[in-house]
Amino acid sequence: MQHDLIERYIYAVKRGLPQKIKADVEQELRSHISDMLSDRTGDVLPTDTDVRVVLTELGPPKELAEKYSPDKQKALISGTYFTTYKFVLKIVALCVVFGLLVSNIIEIIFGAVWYEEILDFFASIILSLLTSFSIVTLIFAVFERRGIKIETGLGLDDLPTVPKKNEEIKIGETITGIAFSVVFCIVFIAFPGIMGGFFDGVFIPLLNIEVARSMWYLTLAMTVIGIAKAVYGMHEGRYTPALCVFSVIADVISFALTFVFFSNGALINQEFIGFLAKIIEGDAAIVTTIFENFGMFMIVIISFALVIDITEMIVKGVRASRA
Amino acid sequence: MDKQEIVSSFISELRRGVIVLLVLSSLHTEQYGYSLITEIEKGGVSIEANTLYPLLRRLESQGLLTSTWNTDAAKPRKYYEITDFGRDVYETLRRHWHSTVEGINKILGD
Repeated sequence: MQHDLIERYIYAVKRGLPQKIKADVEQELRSHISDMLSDRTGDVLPTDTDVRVVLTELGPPKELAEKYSPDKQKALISGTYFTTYKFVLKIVALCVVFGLLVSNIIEIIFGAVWYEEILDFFASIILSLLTSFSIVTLIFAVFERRGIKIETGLGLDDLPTVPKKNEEIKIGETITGIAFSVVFCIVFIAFPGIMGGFFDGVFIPLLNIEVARSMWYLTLAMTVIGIAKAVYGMHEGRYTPALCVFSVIADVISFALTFVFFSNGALINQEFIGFLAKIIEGDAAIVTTIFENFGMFMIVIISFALVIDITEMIVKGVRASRA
Repeated sequence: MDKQEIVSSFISELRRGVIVLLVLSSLHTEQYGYSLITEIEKGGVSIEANTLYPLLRRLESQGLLTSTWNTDAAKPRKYYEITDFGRDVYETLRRHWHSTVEGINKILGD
């Protein structure tokens, strides 16, 4: 039956429901309220009081809606992951602050105005911390949703074996992984001019700063992958098959991103190549060639590293699944 | 979810487990929400709508019930029917209930 209070009640309940079940719950609730009123008043039209009594009996709309949400969806990042989450946040925060500090100090050394750099530091800090915290939160939210379920009620025999000392992924490894990813990110986005050379007392950067910065999304994606890999490793505590598969996939994606980044023709600063060619001649011309094709050079080196890592992951994964 | 997981989770939440038992027992015939409440109340146990409906939804997602909307009658109603799997789980729960109660009574009797 149509009644202002009933409509407002149902609307209030719907607002607290997950999208998928809104329509169905509404219909069922209407049908229930209608039955409650029929029971109360029979064929007689329910009065205002009747409606109020029935709705009060149903309880506050918010409470009703809350009971429809399964418990596991209540927290974005729950208990088991939360401690790890806080830990990673701390590391990332330290790395961001340290990285920005270092890059600004270097810029001062190279002649930038010091108070400008201090302002720059504080300006960048807030945005960088916000961005990095959001990324870490996102990574953990994904892990929570799709993640490793902590088994309850396992039999004693099902408990995972204690990893041997040399099998364990030590906390130092995780910290290094996260730190490396964050610093890498900061350098290639905030300070891509870090690599270069002095020619006649003037510092010429190797990479074209604008171009490097314009590919910030690639750098960021690689950083996210690096952090996710380190965190997953820390959570597993050892090289499980799942971790190894994840690492291989992560490596392949990283390779693709690296490839795109370094195959950008405009990346290398031609000014640098020009200066280099002037001072290097004869047999050492090979050095110039290397730097001209710096992009290809980096791709080859990184591919090497990734192939080694992938092989290591496959070996460890196979070994772990046999154990 | 296999039977083992479900039975373990019910056993550990005794109070909620009792209501589940009553609901499954009442579903020997097809029921809709309100009729379930009425039938269970006849047995002297009161159950609130804000407990029952989410519970029915949960049981359905676990495969113990199926639901269909009946739009033939004057009032459309959502009917619930127990599945074979639900019947299986119900029988196991019932046996467990009886043995638990027997054990509890022994303890309480002393």
